[in-house]
Amino acid sequence: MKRNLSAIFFALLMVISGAVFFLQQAAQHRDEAASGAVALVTASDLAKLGSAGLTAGLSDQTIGVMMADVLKRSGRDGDRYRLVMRNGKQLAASNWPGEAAPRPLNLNEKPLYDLILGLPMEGAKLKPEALGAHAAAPLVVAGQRVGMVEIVQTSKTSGPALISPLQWGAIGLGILVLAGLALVQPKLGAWAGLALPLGVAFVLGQFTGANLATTSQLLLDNLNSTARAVDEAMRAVAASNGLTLAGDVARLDSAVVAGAVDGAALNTSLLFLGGLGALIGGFISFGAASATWRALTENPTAYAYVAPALIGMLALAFFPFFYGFILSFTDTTLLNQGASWSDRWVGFANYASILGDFNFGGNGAAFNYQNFYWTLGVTIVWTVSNVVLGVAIGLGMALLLNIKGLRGVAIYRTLLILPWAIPNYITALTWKGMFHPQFGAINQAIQAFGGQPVQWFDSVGPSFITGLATNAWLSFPFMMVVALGALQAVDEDMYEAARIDGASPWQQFWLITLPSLRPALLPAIIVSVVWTFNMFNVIYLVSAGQPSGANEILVTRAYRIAFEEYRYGYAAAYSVVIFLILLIYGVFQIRATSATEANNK
Amino acid sequence: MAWRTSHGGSPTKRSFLAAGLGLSGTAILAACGKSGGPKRDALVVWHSYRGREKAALEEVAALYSAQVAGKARPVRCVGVPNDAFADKISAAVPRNKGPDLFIFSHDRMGGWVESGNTVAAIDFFLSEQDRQGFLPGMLDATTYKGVTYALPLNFKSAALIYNKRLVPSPPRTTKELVEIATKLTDKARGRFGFAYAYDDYFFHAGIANGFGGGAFNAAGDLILNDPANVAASDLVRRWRSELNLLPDDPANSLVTALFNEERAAMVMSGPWFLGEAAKDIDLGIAVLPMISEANNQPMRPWMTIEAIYLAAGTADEHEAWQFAKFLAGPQGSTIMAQKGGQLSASEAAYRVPAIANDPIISAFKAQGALAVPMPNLPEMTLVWSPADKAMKRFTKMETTSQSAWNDCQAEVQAAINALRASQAGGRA
Repeated sequence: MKRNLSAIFFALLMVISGAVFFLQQAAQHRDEAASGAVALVTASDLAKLGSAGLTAGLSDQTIGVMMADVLKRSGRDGDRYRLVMRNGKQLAASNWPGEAAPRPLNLNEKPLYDLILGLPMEGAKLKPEALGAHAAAPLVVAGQRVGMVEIVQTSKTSGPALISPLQWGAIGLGILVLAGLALVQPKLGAWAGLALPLGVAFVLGQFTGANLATTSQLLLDNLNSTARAVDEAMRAVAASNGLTLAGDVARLDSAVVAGAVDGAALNTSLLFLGGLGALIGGFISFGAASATWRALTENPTAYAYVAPALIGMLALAFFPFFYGFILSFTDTTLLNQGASWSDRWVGFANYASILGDFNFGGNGAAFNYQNFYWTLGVTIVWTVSNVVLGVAIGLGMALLLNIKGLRGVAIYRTLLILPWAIPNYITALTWKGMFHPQFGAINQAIQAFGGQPVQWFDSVGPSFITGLATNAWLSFPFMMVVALGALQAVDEDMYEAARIDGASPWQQFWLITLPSLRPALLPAIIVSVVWTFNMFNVIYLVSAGQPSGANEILVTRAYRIAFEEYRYGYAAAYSVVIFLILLIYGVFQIRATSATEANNK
Repeated sequence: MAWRTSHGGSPTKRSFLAAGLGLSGTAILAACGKSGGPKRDALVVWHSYRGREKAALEEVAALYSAQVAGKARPVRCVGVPNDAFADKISAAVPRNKGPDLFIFSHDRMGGWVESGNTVAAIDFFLSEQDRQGFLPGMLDATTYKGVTYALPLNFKSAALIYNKRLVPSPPRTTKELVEIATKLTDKARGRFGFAYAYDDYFFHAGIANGFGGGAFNAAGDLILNDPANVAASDLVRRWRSELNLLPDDPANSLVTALFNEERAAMVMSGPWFLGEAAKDIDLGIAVLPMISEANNQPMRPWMTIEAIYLAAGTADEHEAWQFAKFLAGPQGSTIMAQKGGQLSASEAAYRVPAIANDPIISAFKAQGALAVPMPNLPEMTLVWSPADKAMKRFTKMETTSQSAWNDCQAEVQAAINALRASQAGGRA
């Protein structure tokens, strides 16, 4: 009972405080956007007038006077303006208190100057200042931005609240009734912690939607009448100065208001908030919260010991992972990193584009080796062939080293482990040098035996072999060490018994050695598959995917997308796909191994 | 007239994502990116110099700090490894965790300007007199879309480096180059008159630019399959596959090895090559030959220009500017040239007789006058890998130059479109 009430309380606290924050933000943003739109119209109109004036040869001073005239005629004398000219770094006109004009700009007025070339041709809304909405537009003469008009609109445009007090009252009443019901009916109570937050969020969303629909047209009409007044004043001033202006009357369309408050997004946010509230409510009302608390209070030392590792994992492993995961749903690139998440959000478009890539080229064009499925195919062939080769060589070496009475085992073992001890990029670069068509050791050896030199990197097959050879060299020592350790643990009695029973060495190998090795080799193969699947260094450094990217594997391709094409979002999606493939493999593999382990028991 | 909606998107949607996905921390970080950072007790300069360049920079910083003591903050130099430098700048500066100034080459500039809040414009401070202090063309490299963002410090470009014992007088035209190279080349025995990483687009660009081609035209459009680029490629293809003058698969390490073993008489490389060249070889440096096949136009290799940038959001831009100007100005550039061994981008450094009379510096300076800055457009990074691929395809006779460049043009254009599409939201 008490638990149900606190569940409802905390969940609603979360939902309502969150909703108040969102609604307040949205209302503020709407008002800022509306004021900004008017400021932008004003700045653009004044810039248009100024550009025409400059083109006609009027002086900066005259243009400053004309600007003041336009603002006066349209009843916007309260707006602050500045006219900044690029040539001579001049503040040509200003009506800010205490700012004498014309004069050269001060050092701390550099941002005004920088703005001139930072502005798009049609002007821009800027971050609102403490005084009000802020916009600027460039003066353009012969296609060059020679100066700018900056407007700070001091009078604020404000629309009605997104949820009226009456509606808040109705919601409060509904909550009271439902909470009361939950008290009377304890069975329902636990579910109320789930349902109430969702319901409140839903109702809030509906109210906001309805309010937005009725008020947006009103807001727009207001904005348009202001814009028209500025426009008419500008034309009148232009006419009295003998200037002709091209273009229609500026008119704001519903996009201004629609852009100011994204009703659908607000609704989604509120629903999401409701979901979050429901989670909290459910967590408390179904007893999970108290169970967690009990666990924490009963074993405080244990949790204190685990905490550093937990925090480390969260910060170093889980956060980057989730960041990458979220990034994969955006079209983040070098050029739009600074934009908001909502601007970059593209949903599953990256995944659709990766998995739906069936452009294999052909029809006269070269084969499209950048295709995802080709790269996936190469990666799989690469992984399988490498692991097979690595295991075969490693096992072979281990069997040789395991021969009884072999002299100098320690030396052989050290030598054979060497490839593993050398950093793999050094090995990779060495092998790349060995595959050089003229000066490489391999072609020279081929020629010494009378063969023809091979152009290793010119076609798909030989280029694949270069990577395969390098990676086999790198990977067999690991398999060898694992196999050797397991071999030495095999009981000698079993071989003796087998020999007495007349088993051939071949039979001994298949029926004793291999089954004894399986528990040690299987985990080694599993990790080896993952390593090889993502073996970036060898592919990138040896063949670099030559020819034409045909020998890229998924991970090198993802690297190129991220750091050569700067498409971070797409590369993140690519990486998630790689992760999913390995996840599926891992689950499958664990099932398979646990099945064999069960058989052994 | 319809106004575009502002770029920020609605805060409601942003809050939804931020709250929902636990990213509020990042959102807050991003949100405070624009406000100015706290004023530190020193101007922090990030650089990736080592050895004598580092010592020279520190000397300039100490000299400046002593001159402005009491009037402005001293300068503190912080070394940052070169390979991580650009990414560190991209990550740190917009979040106000970065330096006040930094030194880096000009080719990443466009990307920094486009992603915003990374580099500050300096036109406001830059007087006509300041502009005159630089060698011609240097400021073009640090200008993006009409706005100057950095002061050039030094430049590097490829030139012709030759073994004086094998080549007494360097060729002035490609015709002479081919004549000398033909005499000295014995491919079967691994001897070459001329070697360079011809399938690396960086080195090829000198020839392509000489023909009037290049990666982008003045308007910033991609022109990889332009007839001039095809003509330049056909020339290299002729050298490599018809006249058999050039080695196969020429990595830079191979070129160095060939030169050091006196198996290559001439190479095309930059000042960095001098550090790798064997000390016992008497080498000379000359301007790259004029292209006989292109009406004796000079080769115009790409140059990279190292420049000092003002980080966006630095606490006092004018103070930061003072140091940038000092470093790039007469005193700073002379120290960097004399003690740091840099090829200065400033005129003043060449008034020192020891520098003006140095044959190696003079040769690189003469080559620099013919070189063109590598494009600083962010799209340039999309060109490298496909262009190298195209170079390999036609030099190995897999296809014609025209079709290799056609494919390359289509591939890069698609990548550029994908990159540009992400920007469609616009940036006010």
